[in-house]
Parts: sequence; structure tokens; C-alpha cells
Amino acid sequence: MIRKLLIIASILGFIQSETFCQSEQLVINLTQASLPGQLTFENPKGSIKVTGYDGEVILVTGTLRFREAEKIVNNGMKRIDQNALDISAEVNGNNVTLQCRTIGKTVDFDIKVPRNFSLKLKSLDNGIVEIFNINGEIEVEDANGDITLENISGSAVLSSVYGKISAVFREVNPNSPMMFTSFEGDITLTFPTAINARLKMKSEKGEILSDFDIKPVKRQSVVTRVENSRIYSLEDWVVGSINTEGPEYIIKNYNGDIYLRKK
Amino acid sequence: MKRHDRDEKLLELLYGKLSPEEEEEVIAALEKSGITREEIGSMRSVNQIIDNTTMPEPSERMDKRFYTMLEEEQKRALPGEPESPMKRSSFASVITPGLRIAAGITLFLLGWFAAGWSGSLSPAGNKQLTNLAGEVKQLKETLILTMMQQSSPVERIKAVNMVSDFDKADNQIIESLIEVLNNDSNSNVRLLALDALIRYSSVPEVREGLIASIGNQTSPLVQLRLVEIMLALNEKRAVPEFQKVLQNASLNYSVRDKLNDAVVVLL
Repeated sequence: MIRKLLIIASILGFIQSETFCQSEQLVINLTQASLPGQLTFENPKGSIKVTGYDGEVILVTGTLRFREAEKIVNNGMKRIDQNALDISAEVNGNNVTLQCRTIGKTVDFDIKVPRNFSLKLKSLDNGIVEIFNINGEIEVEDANGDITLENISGSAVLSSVYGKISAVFREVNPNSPMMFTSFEGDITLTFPTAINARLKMKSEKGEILSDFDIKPVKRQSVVTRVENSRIYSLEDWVVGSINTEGPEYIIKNYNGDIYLRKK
Repeated sequence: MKRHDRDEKLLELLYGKLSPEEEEEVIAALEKSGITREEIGSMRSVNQIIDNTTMPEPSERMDKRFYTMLEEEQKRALPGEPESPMKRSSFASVITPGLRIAAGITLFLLGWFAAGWSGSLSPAGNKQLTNLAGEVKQLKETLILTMMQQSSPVERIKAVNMVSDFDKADNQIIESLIEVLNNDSNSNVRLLALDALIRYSSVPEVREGLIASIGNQTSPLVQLRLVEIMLALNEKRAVPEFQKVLQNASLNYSVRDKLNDAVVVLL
């Protein structure tokens, strides 16, 4: 049985500048901070930056991006912001779901989590996603912005449409498949030299460049049945392996290039 | 929940999908519940044997062996007849050797057919093996369907990849792949499900599922892949769906180009 625990997280409401509430901080206490957890967050508008650190609480700082523009002076009077940010968190064991209900405004988030945390992040509009020093499973979707991962141990499933993807892995989970896709952006991946992986790559209009010695795997034939006839063609992916066969890493983009680097 | 987890871990152990540490953990837990290490070992080896066993067909050698035996029998019977004393006095004594041979051959034939039908000389054992292989396939399917429901995209990617182990996927698997293609929260998993479905594009339900999903897709990579597939299949029924997508003003320009081309080619 899971003990469902709903903690109403305490808002400390740090006032960081001279005006009211342009940047606010939410502190989420974890009951079992030593165990791995998961953070889920979908930002309707704005960037997300997550950093793994040695602490035991989750620190969420939300900042309005366009402060000056929103500080309109009307009839010579200064406007006082009324709790511009609406941030809340639902905690279930070590699973934390963060929500931002601020509508229409761009809010950038800077989040600090314990290192052993898995992340499930989405930025729906007007933002980039950056992740540093995390051990865990990372899932990011950011259709319009870049995705940057650094000093990661574990695995990642990343997708963008108009943004670039860049990921540097310190270690990889030897059993996890990974997937990286973008439509318009370059994909740059850096892996430790000793990884074992089977790569499945395709860049429709771009190029694939690699530091690794990739052993090509023979292309397989694909059979398509059209009405009564069968059409045989070769698989359209570039398939190869780094060192010996390992989990499958799928890398695909349309207009950008793919870069594979050794760490 | 806990029991469910444990069952899954056990399955993964049998398939050898766990890391050495996790394996130790699961084995330790099993030992606590009274199952010895040897028993686990033998379970795993049985699983491997089932995976590696194919159904034996009655071989050519068996055919040959039967005919040589039949010939030998006939040869033995032929010289036997003149040797037998000419006791035509009794009806029974004349008829008995012939009957015996006939009965012998009939029995042999019956036995041979029985063996042939069940595929080997030990019909009982083989049937069990076939049943077991079926059960393992069933288990694998259940595992795939469970993994497709997991919140971790890595598990769902693994599940979609596992579908390619089947030559013929059953309806449930195909349905859930279409479900993933239409509703999965991650666009990468949707793209992968689409690639997995291509193998079954000759199945009418899959075709219809693919056409119906054109309007649901928002990821340009998935949209382009669908255009490519519909072109390869020469699927004219996709045209109205493509035209609906083309009405979307925020459509990616590369996708728009491809869609326009595809509509012209298919019409």
C-alpha cells in the first residue's frame, strides 16, 4: 500500500527585489531525502533550469521574466503586484509534481533537487530547459526551445521541434534505451568512451559526425505490402554499434546535424 | 502494488534483463520466501530451453527408417512363407502368419502416424513443451502490455522495441500500439510506435488506425513519417486527412511541402 501524502508545501515568499513578489521561492521538504525521487513539471510558458545538489529539500524559485515591462505606471502611481506567481506542489512519497498556474506571463524556474532525482519536464512555450548534475532518468519535451544536459548519469529521452539538443553524460545506465529527436535543431551528444550501445540514427537533410568508432550493422530489408504485391526495401536508418552491442539509442532530426562526441 | 512489482521483477529475472545487483536482490527475496537458488537456476534454464526450441518436423531420416524397416519385414515374411510347413489342413494355421504380419504393420503404421502427428517420438513431452512455449509467449505479451502503461518513457520504449520480437503480433498488441501512437504523452514514444506499426501495415486495422491517427499528430517528425508511410502504401484514403492537416495555419513549412506533394502523388 502506498501512503499517499499530500503536503501543502510551505511558501516562504522571499522578497528578492525592492518590489513585491517578482521572484518567489517554494521549499518542498522530502520525507526520505536519501532515496531517489521524481520531479514532474510542465511549465506553460518559460524556461526550466534544474540543478542537482547535496541538499535534502527541493528549492523552487520562479521569476517573472519581463519585470520592467510589467511595472506599468498608471496616472503617476506605481502598481503593486498582487501575488503574480501561482506555484504549488503535490508530494506523494518522493514523487513531486510541481504546477505553475500563472496564466499569460512568462515565468522562468530555477529548481534545486537532491542529485538522485529523475525528471519529467516540459516547457510548452517560450523557454529553454537546462539540467545539471543529475543521476537518474530524464525526460524532456520542449518544442520551441533548446534542451541542454550536463554532467548526467543515467539516461535521457529528449525531444524538441525548433530547438537544439545538447547532452553530456558522465555515465550511462547500461540497460536503458535512449531517444533524442529534434526537427530543426542540431543534436550534440557526449558519451563516455567505454559505453556499449547500438545506435539508430537518421538526419534527413543534415549530416552525422562522430568521434566514436562506429561499427556499421548490416541494414535489414523491410517488406511493405501494397495491395497484392510486396515491396522490399532497405531499412532507412543508419545502424551501428559503439564497442559491443548494448541498449538502443535512437537519434533523429530533419534539418539539423547530429554530432557524437567522446568524453 | 508490491506483489505486482515482484511479479515483474521475477519475469525480468527469468528473461535475464536485470543488472547483477538487482538480480542478487530478487534472488535474495525469493530465498527468503523458501525458494532455493538451484530452483531459480533450473527455472531460468527451462526458460532458455523453451526460447531456443523449435517444433521438430518428422524428418526424412524417419521416413527412410520406416521404409527400410517395412522392407525388412516384407523380406522376412517372404522367405518365411515357403519355409512354413504346408499344413493346409487347418484354416487357422494358413491365415495366422499373414494376419500377424498385417497386424504388425498396422500397429507400426498407427504408431508412426501418432508419432508423426505430435511431431516426435515422445508425444507427451513435446506437447508440454509446446504448451509452455505458448505460455511464455502469453507472458511476454502481458509484460509488453504492462510496460506500455508505465509512467517511465524508457519502459515504454523497451515495450515498443519488444514487439519486434514477434513475427505476428496479436490484436491486443496492435491495438495498444495504435493507442500509444495516438495518446502517449511523449512524442518520441509515439514516433517509435509508428515505426513498429509499419511491420503490420498489411493488417487492415493497422491501415485504418494509421489513417485515423494522421489528424491527431502534432509532432512534425511523426507527421512526416506518416506521409512517407502513406506514400509507400499508396494509400488514397489518407488524402482527406492530409487536407484537414493542411488547413492548420501553424503547420511546419517542411511538413506542409511534403503534404502538398503527397496529396498530388496520391490523387
